[in-house]
Amino acid sequence: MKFLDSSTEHNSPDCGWVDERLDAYFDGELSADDCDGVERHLSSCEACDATSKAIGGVRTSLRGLPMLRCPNRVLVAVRSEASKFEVASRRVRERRVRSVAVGSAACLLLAVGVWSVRGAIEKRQEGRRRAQLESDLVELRSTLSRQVTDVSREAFEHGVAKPTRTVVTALESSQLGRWSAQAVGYLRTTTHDGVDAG
Amino acid sequence: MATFPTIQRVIDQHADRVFTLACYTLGSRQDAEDVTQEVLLRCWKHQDRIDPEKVEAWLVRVTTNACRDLMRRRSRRREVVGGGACDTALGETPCSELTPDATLEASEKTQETERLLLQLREPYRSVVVLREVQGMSYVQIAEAMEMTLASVRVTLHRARRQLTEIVANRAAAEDLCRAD
Repeated sequence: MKFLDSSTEHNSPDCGWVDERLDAYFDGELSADDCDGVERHLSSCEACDATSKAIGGVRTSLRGLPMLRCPNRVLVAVRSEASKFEVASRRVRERRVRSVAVGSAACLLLAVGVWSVRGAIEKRQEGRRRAQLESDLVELRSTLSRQVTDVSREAFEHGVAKPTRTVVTALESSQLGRWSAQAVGYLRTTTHDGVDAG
Repeated sequence: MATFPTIQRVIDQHADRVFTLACYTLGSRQDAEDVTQEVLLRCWKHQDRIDPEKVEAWLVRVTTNACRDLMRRRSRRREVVGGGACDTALGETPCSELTPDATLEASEKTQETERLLLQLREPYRSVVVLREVQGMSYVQIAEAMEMTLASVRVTLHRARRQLTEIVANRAAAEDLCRAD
């Protein structure tokens, strides 16, 4: 493989520009204008033309390398390993599913247990509350009846007894009262006398 | 999102490509078989995580990484990767059928080119194989190797210049030998 002529030298200022674009030129990744520029320069510059031929030669050699066929034993080994892996991962999956199922069942049982215990506690608390309420109610009733008695007594005292006493006191202290007392006294004495005479 | 084609089909489609890349990158058929098996198996295991549109790029990336890892391990153990005779395409049946003479000539040429290729370091070697042997575009190489387009251009440019220099030096040495 003899590609590069070492005797040639790059003298033109365009050589650097072309050198930067030679790879893209070979790989078809250069714009049409740049392609024209490169081709023009290559036709006039021996050094760049030699470089271009050298790169072209290397590319041709490399492109001559064949695509290799992967040996069947590699594919067989891959399939065998993969099937082992599949079996292992299936086992792991199954184990995971089983763990999830057991976990879910445990969670469900726990939830049911908590729910039932909570229900019993709530029921007991409710009973206690009701008993408390009933006793409060009984107490309230007795208090109320006591209050009613007191209020009626107070009402009788203020509404009937006290005004009556006031009226009686007023009547006793008035002239009419005194007369009445005298009359009563007189009547009492006469009655006693008549009884004694009889 | 497209559905992932059956993994078996993906492996059948891309096995040759992976093997070729590994073979020319490592310069050893046995190592290439190991890497190919590892890469294809990894593809099988991670099929759920690979974008079906980018399987090829994924395979190229994983293959080049696996090759690099192997070369690094070997260099730590001071083993020569691809050293001595290249055993990649030798004895390998190319995709086309040839006459015995043509096969011999093609085989010699291939051997010479492989030796030339092994003079390159990474990532030059992989990029050259992807471009020249596998015919991938700059954009595809950039995506697969996780490089910028500019890096792909620069890498290819440098790789080709190195190769032409090696060829020129070899030719000069041969001329000297002949003159003696």
